[in-house]
Amino acid sequence: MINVFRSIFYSLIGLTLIGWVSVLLISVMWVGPGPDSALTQYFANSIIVSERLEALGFEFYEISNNTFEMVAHMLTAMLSATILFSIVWSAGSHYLNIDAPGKAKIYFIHWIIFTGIFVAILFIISYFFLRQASPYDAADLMKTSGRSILVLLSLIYFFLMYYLSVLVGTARFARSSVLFANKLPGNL
Amino acid sequence: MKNFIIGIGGTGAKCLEHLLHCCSSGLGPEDLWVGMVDQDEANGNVSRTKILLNKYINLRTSLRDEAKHDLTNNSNLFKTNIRTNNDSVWLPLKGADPTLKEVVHYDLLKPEVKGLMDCLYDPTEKLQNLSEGFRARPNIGAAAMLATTANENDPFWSQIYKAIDAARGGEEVRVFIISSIFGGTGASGFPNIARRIKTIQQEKNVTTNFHLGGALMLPYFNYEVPEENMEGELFAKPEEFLDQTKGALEYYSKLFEHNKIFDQVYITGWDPLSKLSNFKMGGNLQNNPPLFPEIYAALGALKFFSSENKISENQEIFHIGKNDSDEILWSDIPNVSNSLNSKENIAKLIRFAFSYNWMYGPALVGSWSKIKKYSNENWFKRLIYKYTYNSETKNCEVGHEHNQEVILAMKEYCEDILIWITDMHYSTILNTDQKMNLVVSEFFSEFKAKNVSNRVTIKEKLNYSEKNQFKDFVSDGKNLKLLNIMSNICYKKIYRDQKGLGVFMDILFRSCEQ
Repeated sequence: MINVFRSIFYSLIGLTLIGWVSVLLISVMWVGPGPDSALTQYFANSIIVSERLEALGFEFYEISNNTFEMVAHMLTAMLSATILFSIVWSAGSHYLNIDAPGKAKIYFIHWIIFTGIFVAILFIISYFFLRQASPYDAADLMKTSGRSILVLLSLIYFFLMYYLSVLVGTARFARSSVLFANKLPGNL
Repeated sequence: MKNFIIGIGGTGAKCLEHLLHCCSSGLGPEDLWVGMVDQDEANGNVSRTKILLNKYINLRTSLRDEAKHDLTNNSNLFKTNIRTNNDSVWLPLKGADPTLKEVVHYDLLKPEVKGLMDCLYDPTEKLQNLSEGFRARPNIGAAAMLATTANENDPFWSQIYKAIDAARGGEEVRVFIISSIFGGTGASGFPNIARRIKTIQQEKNVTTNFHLGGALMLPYFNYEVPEENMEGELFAKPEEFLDQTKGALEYYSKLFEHNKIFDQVYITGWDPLSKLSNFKMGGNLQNNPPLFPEIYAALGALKFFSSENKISENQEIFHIGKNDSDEILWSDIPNVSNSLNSKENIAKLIRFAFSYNWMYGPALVGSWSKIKKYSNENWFKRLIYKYTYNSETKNCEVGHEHNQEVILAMKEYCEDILIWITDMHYSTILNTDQKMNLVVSEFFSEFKAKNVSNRVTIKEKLNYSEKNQFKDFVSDGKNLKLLNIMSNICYKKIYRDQKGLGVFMDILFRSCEQ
């Protein structure tokens, strides 16, 4: 059992390596970035359709709260999913039936499937928040390219976070089941 | 502390087989000299133990070499430094086909002594070829043993002399003798060798630091003697075992009453007797199976050698037997001392043998081109690659001949452990109402009671479902799975100074417990 806790600890370290950025971003969005901040400018210029906003007679600062709230909710949901999947794999890898030399690589397929499910869930989360019929009004005012950028960036970011976490958190004997994890030093 | 053990006769040799396995598991003392006494040099029981003894010594030497493979003193695997003479067996009577008549120089005796000999021994006994032992005739054995000399130059006796000298020098010395109370060689050798050792001790005026212990096996097996071709032959008759035992016990009772020869005596009995399927008078075909009661004698010896065993001034006699039920369980195995748990160590050794023989050993056998497929796995990287890597040649040398020798020797030793426990399991209860619940071995072994040279054969490879039965293999309720072992070998701490294959062997051994 101690090895399971050790894995969870390493997994959390892996998450923290880049996960702190998302926590910071979520916090900023909850508080609401200043009107002249780079984040606000980026959203106003690249994410939101300014023509449509003008046609409706709004300025960006009037809908920015709703926009940041939507993105903060989405990132929180994605972060939760990432933490959950990372810890589940790291702890669960101790229970994979790797009982003989050479058997760990068989479980690569299990990792691929698990990771695939994780990516699909990230995609579903982003779709839920960013689709046009989303509960958030700001979603209707997003550019297609802006929506794609948000989906792509968040998918890449959270996948990377998950990968770093399972890379160091997977049980030592199951490392051959995770891409490149067997390159880690034996005693890590 | 210096420890010496002498196994007399076939039973003595078989008890030593158990003792060697117990020493492999870490139950033995730091240092032990092992010797055997048997007139039947080719005896199957003696040969088996002799071979096992050599394997133990060779493997231990390979795995406790500070320059190459070192388990280090922290490891319990092959903990005991066992030594023996070049020939571990002492033949009381030298020469080809000796007879009692020749041994006592009958023709040169005075007429009145000849008459005494004629009263004590019938003509068949006097002319019996003794090269295959004393054939359950302790009266012949006793005379033959007494006719030999305890010469200080004899390699066997020189060890006893050295032991007594060491005791005189202030070192604690313990000598232990194991034999059966019935039969020929053991029954005659036990009291005679013990008394001879005591005489040397008295001659050398050693009164402290020297302790003598012994284990006597009361009848614990019998067999059916075939009726054909046995006329005129001298052999051990099972129907005489109880009478012989009764006589011997009366003798020992008187001996112990008047003389303190032993400091501690361990007596083991068994009921019902195990039934051996094969009867052989002697020679290499007398290859009896290891039986459970013998483990008591071995553990008795180890208890005697234990530093926790404080030997009192009075002669102590311990006795042990099976529990009242017909089932033999792990709980029937006594501990060597408070700090040495016999059940746990033996169970660990058996699990180690299984996992090495069928899981990890095969992965390490062969050339590097075959082995390298495991090179990215954590257990291999951590325990093999790093410790067999030659920084000069920049190669992992696990596939090299010098490493392969150790790997194969360990595989052979593990097979011996598995055959030992399986044979004991099948043979102890064969044709009796007893049940034995120590291991489940049917899935990997085949038992042929009548096949003397190869009673137990174990499978070369196991399939998936057979490997899966590992968790039920040892019936100690631990439910240890192969997955747990794989996990343990990846996380167990490597002791400082461990080297070469000693790292992997020790970690695997330690991983075979929860």
